[in-house]
Amino acid sequence: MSKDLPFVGFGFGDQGQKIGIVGAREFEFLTDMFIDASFIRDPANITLLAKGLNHFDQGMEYALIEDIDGFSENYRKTFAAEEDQPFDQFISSISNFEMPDLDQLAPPKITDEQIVFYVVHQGLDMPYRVTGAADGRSKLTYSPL
Amino acid sequence: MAKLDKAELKKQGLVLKETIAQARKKTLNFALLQGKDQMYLVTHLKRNTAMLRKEAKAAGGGPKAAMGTLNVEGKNLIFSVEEEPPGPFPKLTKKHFMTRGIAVRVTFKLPNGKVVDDGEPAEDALQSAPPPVDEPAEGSEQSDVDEGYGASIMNIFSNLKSDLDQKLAQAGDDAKSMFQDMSDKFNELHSAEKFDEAAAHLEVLKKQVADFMATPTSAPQMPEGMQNKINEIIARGLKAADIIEKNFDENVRQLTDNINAGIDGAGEFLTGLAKPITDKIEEIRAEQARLEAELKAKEAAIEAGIKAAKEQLKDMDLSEAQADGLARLSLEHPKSFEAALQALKTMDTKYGDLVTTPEGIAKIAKDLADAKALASAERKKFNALDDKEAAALLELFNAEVAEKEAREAVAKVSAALVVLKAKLPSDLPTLTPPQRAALAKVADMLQAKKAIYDAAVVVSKEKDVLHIAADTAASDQSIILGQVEATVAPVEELSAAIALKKQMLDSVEVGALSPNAPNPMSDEDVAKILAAVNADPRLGKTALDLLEASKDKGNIAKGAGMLVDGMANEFKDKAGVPYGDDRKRALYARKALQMGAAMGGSYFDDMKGFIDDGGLNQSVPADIESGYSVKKLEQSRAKFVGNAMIGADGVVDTSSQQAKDALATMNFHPGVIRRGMPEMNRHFAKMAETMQDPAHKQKIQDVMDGISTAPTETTGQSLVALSVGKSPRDLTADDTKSAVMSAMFTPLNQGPVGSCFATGPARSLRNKNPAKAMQGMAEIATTGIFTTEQNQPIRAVSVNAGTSEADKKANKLPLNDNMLMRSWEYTIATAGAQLANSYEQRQLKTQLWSTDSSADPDGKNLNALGTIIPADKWPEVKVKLQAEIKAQLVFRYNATSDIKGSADGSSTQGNFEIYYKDGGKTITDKAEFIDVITKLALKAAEVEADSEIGRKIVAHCKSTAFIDSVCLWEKGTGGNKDKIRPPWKLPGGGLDAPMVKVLEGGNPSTVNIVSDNPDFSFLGFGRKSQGERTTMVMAALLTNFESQTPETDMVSISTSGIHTFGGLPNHPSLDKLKEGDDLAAALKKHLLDPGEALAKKEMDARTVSSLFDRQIDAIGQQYLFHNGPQVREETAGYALIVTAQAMRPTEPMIPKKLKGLIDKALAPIEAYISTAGADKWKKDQIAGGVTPSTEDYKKELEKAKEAAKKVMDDMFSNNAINTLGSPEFVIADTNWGDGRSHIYFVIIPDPVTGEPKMFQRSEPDGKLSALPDNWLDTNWTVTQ
Repeated sequence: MSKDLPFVGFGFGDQGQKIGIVGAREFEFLTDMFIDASFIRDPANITLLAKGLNHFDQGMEYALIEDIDGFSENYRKTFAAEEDQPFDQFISSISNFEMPDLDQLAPPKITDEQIVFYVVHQGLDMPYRVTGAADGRSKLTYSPL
Repeated sequence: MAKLDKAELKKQGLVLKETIAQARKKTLNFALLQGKDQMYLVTHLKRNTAMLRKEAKAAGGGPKAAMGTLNVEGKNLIFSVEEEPPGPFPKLTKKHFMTRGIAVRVTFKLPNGKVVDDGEPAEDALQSAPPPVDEPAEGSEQSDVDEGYGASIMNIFSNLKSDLDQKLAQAGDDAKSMFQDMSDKFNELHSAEKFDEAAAHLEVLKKQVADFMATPTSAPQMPEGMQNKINEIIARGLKAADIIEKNFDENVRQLTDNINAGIDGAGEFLTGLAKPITDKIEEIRAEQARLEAELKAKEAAIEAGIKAAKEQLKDMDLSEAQADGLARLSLEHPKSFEAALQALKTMDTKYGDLVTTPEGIAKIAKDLADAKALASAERKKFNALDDKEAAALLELFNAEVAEKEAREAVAKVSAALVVLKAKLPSDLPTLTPPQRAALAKVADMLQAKKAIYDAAVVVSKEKDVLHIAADTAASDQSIILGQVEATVAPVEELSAAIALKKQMLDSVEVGALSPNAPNPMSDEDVAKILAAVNADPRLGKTALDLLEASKDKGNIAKGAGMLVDGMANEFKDKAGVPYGDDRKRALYARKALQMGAAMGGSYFDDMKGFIDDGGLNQSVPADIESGYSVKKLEQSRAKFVGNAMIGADGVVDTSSQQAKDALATMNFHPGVIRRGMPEMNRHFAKMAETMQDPAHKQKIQDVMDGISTAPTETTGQSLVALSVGKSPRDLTADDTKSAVMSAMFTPLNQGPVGSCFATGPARSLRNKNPAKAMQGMAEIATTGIFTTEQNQPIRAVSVNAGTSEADKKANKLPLNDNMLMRSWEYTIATAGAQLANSYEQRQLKTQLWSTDSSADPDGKNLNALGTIIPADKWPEVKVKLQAEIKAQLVFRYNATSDIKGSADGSSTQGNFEIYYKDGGKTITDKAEFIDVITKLALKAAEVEADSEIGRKIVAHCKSTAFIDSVCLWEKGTGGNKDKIRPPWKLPGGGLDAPMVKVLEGGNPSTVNIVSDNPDFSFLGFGRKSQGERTTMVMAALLTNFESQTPETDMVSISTSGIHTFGGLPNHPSLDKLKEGDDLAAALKKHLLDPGEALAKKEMDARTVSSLFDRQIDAIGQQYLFHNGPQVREETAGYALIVTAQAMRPTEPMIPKKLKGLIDKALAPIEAYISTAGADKWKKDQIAGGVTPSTEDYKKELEKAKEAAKKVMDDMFSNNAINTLGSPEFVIADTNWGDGRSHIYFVIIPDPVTGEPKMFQRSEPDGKLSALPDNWLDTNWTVTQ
């Protein structure tokens, strides 16, 4: 992303609604953001697009995995550390599940107007593969990796 | 009477017609209540009658009611009811329909076959019916049906009075006055339009008139009611004569009393009574004399019968009381007596004297203790000699080794000498000096070695002699030991025979076989049990043990009878092929009786079919037979049954022959029931029935048909491979189906990791919606993913299929269980916890960021940072901070946290806590919370704490205003406001609702139905007693249960911080508490009053003695002689038992007094076993390298005392409750158990206190164990 571009972020507004911000401006719909900040749809800024699509679909439940190597390394380390711990119904542990194929993780990519990107569930700490239309007009599909 | 207008009657008539039309097609539940002005009938296809009654009552119905089911056949309304309806109901109901234009005949049917109807034949009913209100008859006053009714009864009265007046002209003043009063009363009721009451009064009047008209007018008139009284006396007398054979003496006494009372009451009247009456009295007196004569004759016959019976019993070594009890049994239960006599004769023939008096019991206990002590002493001697022999053998071995080594040394030197000689000239004198020296040296060496060898030989011989001596001594002692030990077995057998004889006699006299038992068995059934004792003592003991807590004694008797016959017939099948040998048949009989007692229903009839068809000799797969661990058997059997439910065409059919055969194998096959799993079999049967239910069948098939591939990824592959026992590479779609069916047919009980929050909801779903549960498991098996009702897909908890120790250690699922089922359950737990986390995160978001002025009036939450951060930068910082908080702060449930209430001492356990991911810690106080929020805010703002903006951020986050703003408030005590939701100390609550939600969707919530038991001593009153608490819990549960829909079989209940389990709203034991509208009255009637009566019940001396003996004997057996946790000297235990037995009470007393005596008698034993337990613990600790402190030892001793006391208290409760027949109410399924048994929560009046008490009840053995107080003192919640 070019340093010349205004800050783009995603959160929630005063009424708890999902919002995106471009600089100091707030948007409640991704499509409005596309109009006002068309650079988000620029292939060079696909990360912003993935973040936006994810946020307006699921809020903050999932976060885009940007540092794939860092995520993978940390995941493997945590998995190994927790592997011998017995199942605890109150504490979610990534080692309760099969080790996912982390090699699948990749930066967001659009093919034939369909986007694929990878997110981490913020409660489970598990990676998910997200697919769907890149235009923000339909629901995305979240599948555990 | 309030009149209904025509339109309203017509409208009601239409509704009734609709009801009739429905009831013609299907049976309806109904409640029919008598109201002030009409009947109120409410019907429904499914809703239960209690709810219908409520509705009818709300509409205007009064307390008089009838409830049950309604069918219509032709014009007949058939009300099937449990209890006889109030008297006028049939007529009133008929009238109700008639006045609404519907001609019907009304019949009430009772369970015993009795029929109560409106008194008119069907044809009459139709003829007398008015035309429908919408088709008024010409010239009739259809709008005023009540007036027509009133006119009708007035007409009857007028006719009656006309006859009466003629007769009264010749009557005395008393009669005139009486009938005038009655006429006046009728007119008064009629004028007040109380037609129903007037009609009832008219019936009485008609009867009086009929009696009067039949009386000769010349005779003196009796005072009012006298004739009835005389008639009643006569009737009673005749009735007494009829039943005199049954209750001879009592009825004679009663008759005499009645006659005397009648005569006394007659007063002066009798002196002027007409002759017919005095003749009647004389007749009765003559009858009395005859009956008294019969009584004497009967008593004489009884005496003779008892004498004859005692004569037959005289050589059976019975106490006077035992002989008397059996002799009396012979009078009313001849078959039982004969069977008992036969069993006693067989015992006498086999064993000779079997003395079951306390002295006899003490003697055999001493004989057994002595025999064991002797054997123990001889065993010690043998062990010492054996050790000595081993030592001698070792010494001999060493000596022989030394001899061998010496011999080898000699040989070696000899060989050297030969070699040396070969090198030397043969002419020794020619040897050179060096050669001579060398030769001499070797010769010396040889001599020395020879000397060593010779000595070794001597030692070896000595050791051999010693060893032979030691070996002989040990061998001799082993013979003595064998002889002594051989004497123990017969004493043990004799002891068991005496115990069985006593158990049988006690049972006949005061136990389950007694005619005076709470639910006495028939003569035939008792005889069957006693015949089993006679046929095979072990089968007999099994039957007697099973009867102790059985709710269906007839079933056990039936089974015992069939199994005794079966053993006699060698369990031959239709083709005449017998099963096994005597030993195998006896074992089969015992195991089948146990299984049949547990299963109930048609078990024994079905067993006969299995045997006839040769099932006993059929082979079955080895892995479903005994010989494996319980869990392994559970899995193998679930797989066997699950697969049998799938046809070759892939269709699930749980009623196919293949399915039936599989279930029969589980229930009856000898190899299977040797390790019987009745609870698992119950689950099989229930699941099979549920799957065949049309409501589920197609949905289940759809799930099965949806499994079209083998598992597609590792988690599913591992789970399915382990279930079907194949390599993951070789799996097919059929294997996946098999694994899913196995999981469905495996009982779901709470697993080893305490997953109770998920177990209950999962168990409940599998019962009520098996297809949905199956879908969840199928999804996991095929894709390794579980999708919640909120459409959230999550990975299923996986299994490591590897077999190395590291693999096993890394496994998250219990390896010996059905892992597909557990994966489903654990994944539900994970999804539920995650759902709860999301909810708590949203709550925190609101608390930190709300712009609602009512929540944050001063605007001091995190939004206030917008006044610190430059405006152009604030939007960016804000969303970054929101993201940081979301990513870093998650909520975890702490089930053991103790959350104190504000002022009343109340507390609850379990709440959510914030976990700070980067910090790796849980936030539990305000300082930590401020610290973390500050860190995250500084990070989002990208400033240091000591920067200008940073200092302001820090100051804000630390400010009281900020903290106040992020806590929710409510008005607390004393006008103060209390923080009710500080994020670092969230309020308590369970985790049930999220689990239910992920499984079933909707928006379930948890409601508190009973708050905890706080100590209000500061207000002058204290905690409620456990009896009061138990009643509160019972009342709250029933109130909730009654609000559930009829099809709700299980309700999720939590006792906070302890357990989540399933309430059972439809358990039949609760039915009587649901009758009527007054729960408090029902609890009083069925729980509290019976409890009080039990506590006050003075038990007869034999029952008292029997209960005392049973407890002392059982404690002795459990702790002192055989199975105690600590091995100790039997003789010491024997002395304690003898001392306790000496305190045996022999007079009648209430349960509390008996309990006190037993406690006193057992106190030394309790102290003995507690000390022995603590001593053993100390010894083990020291052996493990830890020397416990005196304080630790004391704690251990206290623990041991508490444990021993609980065992003894529970034992008394079991014995007393079973003997006295306390009412029992099953309130919940604990989710605890395995294939063999399952545990329920029950409430039973405690015979000692009379108060309700909560127990765990184990099925099928019926054993009770009292729950600790903390279960009752905590909050009880329901999630729905």
